[in-house]
Amino acid sequence: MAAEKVVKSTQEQAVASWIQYLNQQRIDELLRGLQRQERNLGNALGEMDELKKSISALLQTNRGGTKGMHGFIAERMQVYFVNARKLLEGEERAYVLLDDNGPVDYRASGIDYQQKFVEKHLSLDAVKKHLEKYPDFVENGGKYQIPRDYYGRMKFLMELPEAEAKKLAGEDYRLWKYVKDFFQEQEVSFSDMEPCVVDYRDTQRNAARKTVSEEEKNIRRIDKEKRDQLYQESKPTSKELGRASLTAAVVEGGAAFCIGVYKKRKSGKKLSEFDEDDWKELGLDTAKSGAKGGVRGASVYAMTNFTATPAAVASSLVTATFGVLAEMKKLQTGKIDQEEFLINSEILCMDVTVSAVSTVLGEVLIPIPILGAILGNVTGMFLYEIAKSNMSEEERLVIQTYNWNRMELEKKLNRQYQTIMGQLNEKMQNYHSLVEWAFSEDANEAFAGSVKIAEYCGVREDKRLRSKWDIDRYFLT
Amino acid sequence: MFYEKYKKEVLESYGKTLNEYNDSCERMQKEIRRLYERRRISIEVIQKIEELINSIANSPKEFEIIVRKIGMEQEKFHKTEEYAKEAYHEAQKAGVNIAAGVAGGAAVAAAAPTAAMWVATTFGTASTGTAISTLSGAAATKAALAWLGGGALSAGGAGVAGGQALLALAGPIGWSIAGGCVVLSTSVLSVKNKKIADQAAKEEQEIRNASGQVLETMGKICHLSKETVVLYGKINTSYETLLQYNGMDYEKMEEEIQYQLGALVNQTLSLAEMLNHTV
Repeated sequence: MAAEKVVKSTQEQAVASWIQYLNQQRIDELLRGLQRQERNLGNALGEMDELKKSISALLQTNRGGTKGMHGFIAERMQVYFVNARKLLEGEERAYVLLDDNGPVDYRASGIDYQQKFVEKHLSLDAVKKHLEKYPDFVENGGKYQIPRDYYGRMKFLMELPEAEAKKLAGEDYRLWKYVKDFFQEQEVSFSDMEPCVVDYRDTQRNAARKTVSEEEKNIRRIDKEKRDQLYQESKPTSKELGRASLTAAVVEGGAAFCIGVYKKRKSGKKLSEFDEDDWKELGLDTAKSGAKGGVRGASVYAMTNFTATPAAVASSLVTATFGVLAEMKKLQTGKIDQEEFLINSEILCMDVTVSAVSTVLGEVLIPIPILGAILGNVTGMFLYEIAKSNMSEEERLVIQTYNWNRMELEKKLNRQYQTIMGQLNEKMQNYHSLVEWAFSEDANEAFAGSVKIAEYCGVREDKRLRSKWDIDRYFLT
Repeated sequence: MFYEKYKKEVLESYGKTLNEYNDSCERMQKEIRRLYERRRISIEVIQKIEELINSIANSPKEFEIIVRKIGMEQEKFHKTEEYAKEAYHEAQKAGVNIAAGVAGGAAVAAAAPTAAMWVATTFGTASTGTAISTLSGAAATKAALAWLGGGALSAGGAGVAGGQALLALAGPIGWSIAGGCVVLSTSVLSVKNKKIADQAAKEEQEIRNASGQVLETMGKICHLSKETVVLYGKINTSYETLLQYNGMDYEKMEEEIQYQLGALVNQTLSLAEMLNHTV
C-alpha cells in the first residue's frame, strides 16, 4: 500500500515536472530569442552609424559638388540601408560598395550594380549614356538601379496601353513614349532595372539626415515587432495545453494499469488466468486514472503558466482536490461522518504537502529536469511513509496499553466482586440455618435458635431473652 | 495517524462503560425500593406483634424501630458526546489552520514579488540618484530590481540579478509557509487527540471503579433484602399462629406457648434490629 502510494505520487510529480520543463523550455527560447534580437539590433544600428560617418565625410569634402553629391549619398544609402535590414534579420551583409568610379557602383549576391539618380527621363537617359560607354555591362550580368519613385513611375508607364497613354497630358505622354522607345532601342530589358530603397528626393544633401533618422526609426519599429512576435510565440498555447493534458492522461492511466496488473499478479493470478472481469476492472481503473491525469495535466499547465505556482505544488493541489472530492462523496452518502471527513482531508493535505515539498527540494538539489523531481519525491515520500508507519506503530502500542489496562482493571474488579459475593453467599447459608433453627417445630429448640438469631442480628445483649426466667420476667413485670 | 484510532476506540469504550454504570445505578435504585417495601411490611408486622405482646404482658412493651437510610449518590461523569465534541472542534481548528496556512503561503508566493516591486518603484532611488518612480518602462524595472538587490553592481550592491533572486525567493518561502502550516496543524491535532483520549481513558477507569462499587453495594442490598424477607415471612406465620392467645393470662399458658412467645419476642427484636442494618 505504501509503495503503491509512493509510485503514484512520484508518477504525478514527474508529469508535473515535465510540464514545468516544457514551460521552462519556452521561457528559455524566449530569452535566447530576445538576446539574439538585441545583438541584431546593435549590428543594424552600428551599420547606420557607419552610414552617418560616410555621409558626413561626403559633406565635408563636398564630393560630387552641388549636382553630383546626392548620387554618392544614394549609393551609400542603398548599401547601408539594405545591409542594416539584413543584419536586423540576423543575416549577412548583402552589399559591397566599390566606390572606384568604375562601371560598377556596388555588388550584391554576385550581381554588379550601376546606380543612376538623375532627374531627367527618370534616370533612363543616364542609363543610356552608361550603356554607350560600357555596351557589355548588361550582357555580363550587370543591372541598373534607379530611385524607388522613378521605378514606380516607369513601371506604370510601361504597362499603360497606347490608347490610355494618349489621354495623358503632353509632357507625360512624351515620357511614356520615351520609356517605350528606350526599351525597344536599348540592349536592356525591363528585368535589368531595379528600384532602390529610397526615393530621389530622399538622397538630396539637405534631406539625407532626415532620411537616415527615419530609417533608424524604421529599424527600431521592426525590432519591436520582432520582439513582440517572440513574446507572442513564447506564450502558453492551447496546443501545448492539450499536449500536457493528453500526456498526463496517458501516463497516469498507464501507471494505474501497471499498478492494477501488479496487484493482481501479487495476489497470485497469472496474466494468462485473467478473466473478463479482471480486464474490465483494469480497464475501468485505467480510464478513471486517465481522466484524472487529463485534468491534472491541464490544471498544472494552467496554474504554472498563469499563477505563481510551482508545478509540484500545483500537482499536489490537484491531488488534494481529487482526494477531498472523493471524501465529500463518502460524507454525502453517509459512509463517513463529518469528523472523519475532516481528518481524512487533513491527512490528504499532509500527504500532498510532503510530496510537494520533497519534490521542490529534489529539484533544487538535483538540477536535472524531471529526474530531480522524481528522486526528491521518492525519497521524501519513502521517508514519510516510514515516519507514518512509525507513528501508526506508536499509536498501536498506545491502544494496546490502553486495552491491557482496561482488561486488568476489569479482572481486578471481577475478582473483588466474586470474593464479596462468595462471602455473602456463605453468610446467607449460615443465616438460613439459623432461621431454620429459630423457627423449629419444637418450642424449646425454636427459643434457643431465636436467641442465636437475635445475636446474629445484633440485638443488644440486655434486650435478648435468653432463658425461661427472662421470658417470665419480660411478661410478668 | 493523528491518534485518531486511539481516540475513537477510547471514546467507544468510554460510552459503553458509562452506559453500564448508569444501568447499574438504575438497577440498584430498584433494589433499594424493594428493600424499603420489605422493611415497610416488616414494620407493620412488628407493630401488630407489639399489640399482641402488650395484650399478654403486664406492662407495656415497645419494639424500638430505627430505619437507616440506604443509598448511594450517582456520580457525575463527562458525557461521551462532550469528548467527541471537543475532538471534533480540534479537527475543525486544524482544518481552518491548514486552509489559512495554504492561503497565506500562496499569497506570499503570488503577491510578494508584486508588492516588493511596488515598494521599489514607489520609494526606491536608482544608483544615479533619480527616484525610480520618475523612470518608466524597462529602465524602471531594472532600477527597481537593482534597488531590491541592494543597489547597482558598480555601487557594491547585488545588482539586477540579486533583486531577481530576492523576488524568486518569494515562491519557495511562500510554499514553505503553507507546508509548515499543514504539518504544524496536523501535529497539533495529533497531540490534542491523544490528550483527549488519555483524559477519557483516565475517567473511564474512574467510572469502572465506581461501577464495581455499585455492583458490590447492590449485592449487599440484595443480601439484606433477602434476609429481611425471609425473617419477615417466618415471623408473620408465627404471629398468625400465636394470635389466638391475644389478651390471655400469661401464667395460665402452657410452658410451650410461653417459650413460643419468648421466641417471638427474640425474633421480632431481630427483625427490628435488621431494619437498622445498612450496607
